[in-house]
Formats: sequence, C-alpha cells, structure tokens
Amino acid sequence: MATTPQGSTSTPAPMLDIRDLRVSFPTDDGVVHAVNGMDLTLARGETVGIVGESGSGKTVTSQALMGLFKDTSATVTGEIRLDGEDLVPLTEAQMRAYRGKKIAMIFQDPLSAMHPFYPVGAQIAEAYRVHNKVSKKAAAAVAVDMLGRVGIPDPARRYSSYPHEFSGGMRQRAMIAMALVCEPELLIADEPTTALDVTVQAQILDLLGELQSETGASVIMVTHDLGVVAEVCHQVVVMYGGECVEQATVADIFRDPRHPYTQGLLASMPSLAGKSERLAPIPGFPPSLLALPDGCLFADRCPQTHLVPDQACTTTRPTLTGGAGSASHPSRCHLTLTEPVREVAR
Amino acid sequence: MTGFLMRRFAAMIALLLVISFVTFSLFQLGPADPASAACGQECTPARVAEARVALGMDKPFLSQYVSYMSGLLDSRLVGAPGAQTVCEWPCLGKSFQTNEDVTAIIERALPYTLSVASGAIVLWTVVGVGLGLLAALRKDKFTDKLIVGAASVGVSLPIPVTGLLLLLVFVSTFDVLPFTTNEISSPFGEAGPGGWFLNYLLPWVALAVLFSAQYIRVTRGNMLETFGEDFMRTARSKGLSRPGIVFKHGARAGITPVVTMLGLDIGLLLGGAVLTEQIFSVPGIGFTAVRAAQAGDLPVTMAITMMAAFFIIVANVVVDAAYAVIDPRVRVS
Repeated sequence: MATTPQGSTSTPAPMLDIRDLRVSFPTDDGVVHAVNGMDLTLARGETVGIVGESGSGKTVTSQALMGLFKDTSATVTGEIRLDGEDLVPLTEAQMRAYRGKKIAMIFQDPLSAMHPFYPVGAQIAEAYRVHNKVSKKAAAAVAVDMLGRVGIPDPARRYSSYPHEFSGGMRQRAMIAMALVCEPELLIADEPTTALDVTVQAQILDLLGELQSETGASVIMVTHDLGVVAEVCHQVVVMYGGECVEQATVADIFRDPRHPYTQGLLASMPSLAGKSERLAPIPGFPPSLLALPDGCLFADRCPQTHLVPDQACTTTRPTLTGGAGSASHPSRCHLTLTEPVREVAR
Repeated sequence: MTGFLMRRFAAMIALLLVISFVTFSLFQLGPADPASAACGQECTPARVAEARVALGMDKPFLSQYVSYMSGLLDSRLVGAPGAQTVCEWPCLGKSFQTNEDVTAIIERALPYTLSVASGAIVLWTVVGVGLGLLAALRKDKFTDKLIVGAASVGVSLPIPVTGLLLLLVFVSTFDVLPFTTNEISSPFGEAGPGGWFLNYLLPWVALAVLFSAQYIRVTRGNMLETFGEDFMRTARSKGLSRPGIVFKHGARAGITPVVTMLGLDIGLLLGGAVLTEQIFSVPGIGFTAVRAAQAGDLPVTMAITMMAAFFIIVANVVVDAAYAVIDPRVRVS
C-alpha cells in the first residue's frame, strides 16, 4: 500500500473524516436524497478529488461541509469530523466560527459568487475582519498583500476594482484570495476551473497547488473533470447517486478502475494519445433521487450486471468494500464481492 | 458623469417640447371653447369673437403655441390688442377663468401637493420596505403570510374607497382627527408641525395603504431573489453574521429595484395626487388640474401637464443617477 506523501510515523487525527454523511431535502414531490452515505478521509496537506456527474451529490456534500444547510429545511446526518471535531451537531452560530476561518470555499462562477456592488479588495478585507479583530486599514493591507500573493498585478490599485472589471481568471484568483485570507486548514474548491478557458485553468490549478504547499492546507477538489483530478489530487472519491462508489489514489483510479461507473467515466474521457476514436458515453441517466431503487443505483446503466449471480444488482445495494490483493481499493460493486471479500479497513 | 447628465438634460428638453405640443394640440382638437365660456350668458357672435381675440385664440394654431411657449423664455404680453398686460417671466399664461397668472396659481397649489406627497412617501417607504423585508426574512411563516395577505388587500383598495372609509371612521364617527383644511399648507405655518401632521395624516394613510402594499410585494420579491444569489452563499461562507449577510450583502442588492420604483412614484405624485386631493379637498396641483380641465382653462391645464411631465422626467434622471451610485456596473466612465 502506498504511504501518504508525509509518510509520518505517528498517525494524528485526519484533517477531515466524513462518515455516513446523508443529506436530504423535503420538496413538494417528496424527499430528495441528495447524499446517501458518503465516506471520506483526508489527511493534512493532501488533496482529494470528488468526481461525479451533475446531480451526483458532490456539490451538496461540499456545502454540507460548510454547514450551509443549517437553518434550512434540509436534513443532514452522519459525522463530519474536522480535526477530530464533529461539525454536524453544531448550530448555525457555532458554525460561523469555522466558516472562512478553518474551512473556506471557492465557488464555480466567481462573477456571481462575488458581490457586484463592493470592490474586490473590500470583499477580501471583509472576510479577514470577520475572524480577526483589526482595523479596516489593517484588513485592507492584508487584502492587498493577498491579492499580490494570488498573482494579481498592481494589487494596491486593483483593490478598489469591482468584480465586473476583472477578467474571469483574475476573478477566480481574487476568489481564491478571499477564501485563503484567513489561512483555512481545509479548502473546498467547487469546480474552480469549470467556468474558465483551458490556459487559465492550468494557471489557477498551479496557483492552488503553490498556495497549498505554502499554507499546508488540505484541499477538496470538487470536479467532473478527470483531467483536473489527474493533475492535482492525491486521492479520488467517485460519487454516483449521492453515494461514494469508489475511493482510491489517483494512480489506482486510472490504472485499475474497479467500479463499472468509474470505468465508464474513464472511457468517456477524450485522449490525445493514440488514434482518435469515438468517445464512449455512459448510456442512460442518473437515478431519481426522489425514489432510490433497492439495488445498486448504477444497475440500470451498468453493462456488467449479467456477471453478478442471482440478479443481486437490482435487489441488494452493494456496500463500499475492498477486494483482495495488494492493489485493491474500496468500491461499491457486487463484482468486487465475487473476489475474496475484505471490509474496508479504517 | 457630466456628459451623461448633459445628454439626459438635452433629452429632457426635447421631451418636454413634444409633450407641450401634444397637449396644446389635444386642447385645440377637443370640444372645449373657452371663448364662448368666457363671454357669459348674453352672448352674441360678435362678443364671442371679441373674447376669442382677448384670449389670443383667433390666431393660427402654431403662432398660438409659439407665443405661449415664448413665455418660458421671457415675459410676454397677453390679452386683447389695446388692453394687453405684461405676464412676467416665467409666464405660463393667464387663467381663462380668473385672469390670474398661472404661475401664481401653481405657486399657491404646490405646497399642498408637497405636503400630501412628502408624508405619504415617507410613510409608505418605511412601512412598505420594512414589512417587505420582514416578510422575506420570515418566508412561509405566519408573519410572512399575514403581511402578504394584508398587501393583497391593500393593493385591491382604491384611494376613493380607503379615503372615504378613513374619513368615515376617524372624522365622522369617532371625531379623533380633523377634516383636512386648506388653511394649512406647510409645517412652518401657524398651525405648526403638529397641526400640519394631523391635518395630512389621513391623506397620507390613504395613499400609503395602496403604495405600501406595492412596495411590500416588490421588496419581498426582490429580497427573496437576492437571498438565492451566489454572493449571499459566499457571504455566509465567510462566516458573516446573519444581520451582516442580510443587510450589508442582501439589502443593498435587493433594494435597488425599489429605489427605481420610488423615484418614479415621487415624480408621479408631485404632479398631483388627483384622487386623494379630491377626496380630502386639498387644493393642490391635482385638484387644480381637474378644475382647469373641466372649465377648459388651457393655460392652467398646459402648465400643470408640463410640470407633471417635468417632475417625472427629472425623477427618471435622478433614478438613473442613483442607480449608478448604487450599482457600479452601470457607472459610465
């Protein structure tokens, strides 16, 4: 088994440990089960990618981490242990002390995520002042410094620019500055590069990597882009229908995808190497989160159900289990059960 | 900003010219004949013709219009040849009914309209925006439903109904408020601010019932829309407190459309609250306009129409300027 990059001898509590996280929303049509038993462990300074298509629950998971469902009609159960402390039972007021300070978030579309009426610098300074009792002037100086650190030229002048006066890449840099100004230990980046063009994407990912190694923060990279995962992540969690269907190191996911959905995702990814073939999309649609089937959530779209005996795919929900062998990693598929079974060691 | 205001000013002048011309034309096409009205009961065709000359209505239409409009630039002579009097600048003509300077008539009526408008605007803005914000914060709870329900009733109550009900209850039945008197036209008069306040309270409430209801609905709708914006989620993610999120981030964005509405309503109301002034017998601009239109008093009708148009156009410019102050995205560099 590969060790973590730190490879430390003692094992402190992981930065983040999510156990059986479930999020559901009551709607007029019934209860929507957006996240159905999500598990994730993230070590200090590491980056984990959460991958999945639209509606797989990755954004809901990240918002649950920020506690954004507190004081709403949504139900959140399970454990979210940040540095050993469970965030699920905290009240909105208690959670405020964590938001921005220990956990911060970068959003997909920085133009709509920033307030259109306030200068960019003031919004960064505001984020700093929420958690640091300093004068406006001191906070402004911190914000200018932060704008410089994220690579915005002439930060003192750009401090008073408005979001609409920035380019897309600059705005995302400013967004990163806003998220990192209090030096959070955990940074959640929700599709941070989706709204950007490819060259800017690479710059933003590089910047995130640099800042991460400077601050030692752990990062959750929420994305549907396996290319981003390959570039920046240590670990990957594949989500489908609100469940974690496979968790592995980046190398393992690309070398040995175990869940048929992961295999489908990889097959649907364009490759520059080799001759150009038609992409292989996964047929069908994700399950309705209103009425989840008893069996495997992917069974409808899975090309391998015939390999599993007794039609177990449509009758029994598989658990997240690891197969035998040194190169195995947990996945939620009956096919792994046909090999010698081993409960996921934690 | 200066260029922006200059352009708006030029457009304003052009628009006022068009409005004045249309009003003047409509009057000519209409059935009113001020000359026969002015000549009284024992009228002969000869005396009607005389009156027509005295009113200046014997001249061709365009020359009448040009001569009327010239009064806005300089003082001019009005009346029959030989019996002309000077109409000082700014001359809006003389009333066909009373031969009084229209400027003086408007100067007399305006304070009443300002009294009605000022208090009503403050009252409905405070009530409408306050309750709208409260309803948005308590969405789907009892408070919200109560406020929205009350607003639905409020928008369905026309001023004549509210006004008469208020008079019936507070003046006739319980006699707790005075009937509006035309002796009080400003808070600086003999009656003092208190007397002025009590005198205009009922007209304010009548207007505020209708307008607050609209402001509640618009404020609530806009605030709810704003609460769903991404930047509100960002504000929460920073760890801001709820008042900080709601007021600093939410209200600033959610209130912008209300500012537009308010500006236009102020402009509209300064041109005279016709129904309210009628019901409460307040001799303001609206009241005067109705009398003048009924009597075929062209100069007064013209003047009030132009003034109302002027206020609305100015309100538009002010709203645009205010928008630029509130929302940096519309700022003209």
